[in-house]
Amino acid sequence: MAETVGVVQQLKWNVGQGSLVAYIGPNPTSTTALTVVVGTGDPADVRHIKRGMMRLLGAALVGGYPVVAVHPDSGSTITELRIDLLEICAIGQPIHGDFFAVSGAGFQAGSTLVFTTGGVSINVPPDVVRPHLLVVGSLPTNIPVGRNQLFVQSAAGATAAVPVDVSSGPAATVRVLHPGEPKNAPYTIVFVANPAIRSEAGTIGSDPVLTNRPAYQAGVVYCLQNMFTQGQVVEDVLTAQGLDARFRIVSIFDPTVTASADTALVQEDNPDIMETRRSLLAPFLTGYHESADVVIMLHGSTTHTRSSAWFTSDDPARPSTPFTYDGTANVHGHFNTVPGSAAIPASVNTGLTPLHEFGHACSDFANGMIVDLYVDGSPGGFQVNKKFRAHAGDPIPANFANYNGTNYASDQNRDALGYPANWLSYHPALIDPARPDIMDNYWLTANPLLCREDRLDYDFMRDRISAKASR
Amino acid sequence: MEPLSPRFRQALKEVHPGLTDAEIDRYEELVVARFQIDPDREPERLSEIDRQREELLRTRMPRYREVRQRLGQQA
Repeated sequence: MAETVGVVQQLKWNVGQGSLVAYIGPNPTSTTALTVVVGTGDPADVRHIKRGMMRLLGAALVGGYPVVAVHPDSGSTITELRIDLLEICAIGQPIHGDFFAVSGAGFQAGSTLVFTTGGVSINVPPDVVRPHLLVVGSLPTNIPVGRNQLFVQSAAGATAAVPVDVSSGPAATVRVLHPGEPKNAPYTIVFVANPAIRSEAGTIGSDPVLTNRPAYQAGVVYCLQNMFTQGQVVEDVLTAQGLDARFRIVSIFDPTVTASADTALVQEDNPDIMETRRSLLAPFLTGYHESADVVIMLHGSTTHTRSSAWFTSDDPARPSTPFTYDGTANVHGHFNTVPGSAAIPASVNTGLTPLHEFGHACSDFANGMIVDLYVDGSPGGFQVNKKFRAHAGDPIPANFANYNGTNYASDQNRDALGYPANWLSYHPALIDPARPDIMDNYWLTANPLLCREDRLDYDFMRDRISAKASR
Repeated sequence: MEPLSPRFRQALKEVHPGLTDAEIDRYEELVVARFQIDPDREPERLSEIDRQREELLRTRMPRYREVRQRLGQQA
């Protein structure tokens, strides 16, 4: 048997013979004509299969995907038809000015997206490079509209090309940046361009971010770079062992939403804080057929630019994964009643704020809060990463906590900052003792991007996210 | 909660003569505590923290907002 590999350039339906002629080849002037013939004597199951091949050829013609047609060495009748696995996959349509993401495997730093059509080749460096994902924050407008071939070029070589249809717009309202695990409820992070703001006085006003899509998209890119170990960021709590390959990541930018009490998803908090209105988030996402573990609201306020986060409220009535903390039984809930959330200005472009706020948001009010370490006091509750001595002069215990049977040491020195003499609180030992904990005051170091989580937070966050991702 | 930068803390003290690090620390403790209170379960407790926080702002850091506007986003 022979195999003919190529793009379906043309299809002709021969009514009289009940056959379909497929012209397969690298270009319209160099093709091999192969046929699928539905014979009158074919059993029903064979007719069904042949019609399936015809539909597949039709889809391949429209989509531009190469097919592999198997036929006799000296014959033209297709006996088997397949589309082999593609090395890369465009996640949604490429649209000028919109996000664009490509999934695949083994992407390296320095990878470039290459769009080619009609002898024109446009290179687009992605803003986020993960082994499984490339994300462009804003697709350049110089890529020709229409059918392009897309491949990924890196030091390791070039992938096979896939056809994509580039559009000049409009940008998508809901943009899936990564579909995550192929399951009903993958671990999901949703970025939302905030529609409206509730002011300190209680009035509702439109959020200017909805009229500034480029600023919103730049904010999302900064958050992704912060969270997924890009550039100088070294923290890999979300990326080690490809954890983030399991995440569904979605962006919602809907300029048609009108300002109302239900769409004011953030509110000002005197004098400079923006906070999410956490109870409104899940209903808002439902309108877009999305649900989230963590919602990151990007807003356009220029007066309330201090970021904040609310912990998740896990659903205690649904499945969970048990763990122990200092011998006490707790659970990582698989689902939530209220997602974790953060309010961050879209103009964010420095520091580790997105990753810091994500640390809060991914943890839970009841089953372990990952809290700020830069203050001493506490209102109580189950804090994963902060404990207290009875007296400020007491020594810091060598062991901080036992989490799931493993002892975690205390940070005796609070990295280079030192514990103030009057503090009662102390923290888990750092992964990198040379820099403040991400949950501490990361501004107190020359380059905040080099900060790490402490060892306990690191393991706790990964376990918790993995538990949710396992649902 | 995004921490305050040393630059912001210094600017706060410059525009509020007599303001101490201990007072800023107390303000920060209240801010952090606020976000550790489940607003759906303990709204009264959260309101009380907000009341204390705003009292501290009003009496010791009345020009806080002005500093924020001057220094911009980085807290």
